[in-house]
Amino acid sequence: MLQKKICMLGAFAVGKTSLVQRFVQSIYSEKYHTTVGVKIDKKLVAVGDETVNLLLWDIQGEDGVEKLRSSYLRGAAGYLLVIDSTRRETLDIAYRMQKFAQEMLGLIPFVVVINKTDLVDQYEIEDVALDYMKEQGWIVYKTSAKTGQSVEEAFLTLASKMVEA
Amino acid sequence: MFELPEPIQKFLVKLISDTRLPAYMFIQSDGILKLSGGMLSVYGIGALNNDKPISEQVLFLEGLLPLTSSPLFLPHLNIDNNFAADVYLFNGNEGTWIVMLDASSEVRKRKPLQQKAHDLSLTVSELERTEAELIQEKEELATLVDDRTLELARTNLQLKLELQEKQKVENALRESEGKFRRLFESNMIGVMFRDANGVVTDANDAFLQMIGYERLDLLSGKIRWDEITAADSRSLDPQALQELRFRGAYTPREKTFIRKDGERVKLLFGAALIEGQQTVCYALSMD
Repeated sequence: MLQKKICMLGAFAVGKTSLVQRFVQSIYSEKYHTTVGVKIDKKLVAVGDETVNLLLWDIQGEDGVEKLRSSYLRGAAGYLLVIDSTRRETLDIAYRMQKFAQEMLGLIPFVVVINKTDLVDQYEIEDVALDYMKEQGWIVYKTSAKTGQSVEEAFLTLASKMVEA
Repeated sequence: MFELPEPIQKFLVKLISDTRLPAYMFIQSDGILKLSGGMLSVYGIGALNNDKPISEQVLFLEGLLPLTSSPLFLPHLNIDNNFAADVYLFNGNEGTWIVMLDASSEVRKRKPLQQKAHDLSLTVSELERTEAELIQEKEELATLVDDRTLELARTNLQLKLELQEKQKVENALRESEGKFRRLFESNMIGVMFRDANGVVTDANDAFLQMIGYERLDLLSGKIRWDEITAADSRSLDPQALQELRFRGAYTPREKTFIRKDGERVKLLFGAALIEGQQTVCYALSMD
């Protein structure tokens, strides 16, 4: 059986833990609980004929890439770059984390997740940012850990890309 | 590196053993678990089979072995929600040692502080966003006020210009009225006013003299247009009235009037419309 390590990257309070909980346990909590260090979860998924054991490293969110502990990224086969659609500043942090991850891990698969899109009135991500990401060839999903919108698709797409890689 | 005295080394080992729930594994370069022990179970790691590949038994090691740089430190690693571990990986003789030490106490201490710091940051972000919105609204309001002020200034200027124009017109009118009044009072020509009913409402002395009436007759409203116009001159009036309506005045023409004493008198007579449906008429003696 294949095993793949996935890192959840992004600023604090963007919903990394909520996305993992939604994907692994199909649950959601409104209350924000900060993650200290890293929490590891796992989930078996089917990718084509393969069964893949995804090891999800839910890494403590930071407000700057310089605080991101590089040892947590070691050995990752892919990562989910999480942005809070209601906080524009988390987009810039995500850009910097992507650059950092690429420098450290090379060109491994990743998926961008613009989370909390159920909060329509507070949406702050401009179309130009989405255009930029698409121009870079990045895979982008607009998700809601609260409603479950596109959460599974984002993880499964990443799993598929990691198996192909 | 300095060497600690043996008693201290023993003390530190005992201290760590007593307080940090140490666990360990040794994995050969080929990925086979060779040795394991300590408090592995508290970190969510079940019974391990030595001489078997580690990748199938300890999932968090996926991708980490073999170590490319040693040592590697993974602080506050949480596998099963109960105990968090500080994990150290370092290369030994033909393999990698993995040491796990309990970090739960540290995590419990850090969590509320970090939660508070993040909550505060989120509050600050929210306040900054609100402030930015307020600033934007203020700027929009200021622009609106500027636009309105400019519009008011324009209207004010327009009003001033209109007032100046009105003043100019009034001055011209006053001047014209003065000139007319002087002409009226000079009695160089005869001037009379009549209303729509044909009553002569005012006249200067020259005109009264031409038609032989007294001022008292005028003041008592006894001078009527149809009475002072000779019957053979009345046929001219519809034509003159039409010209008066179209042009506001009519060309002076000869007209015969009946004086108070019944005597006929020929006058060169013209008229113009003025405000209040009154007609000003002027007359020159044909003598």
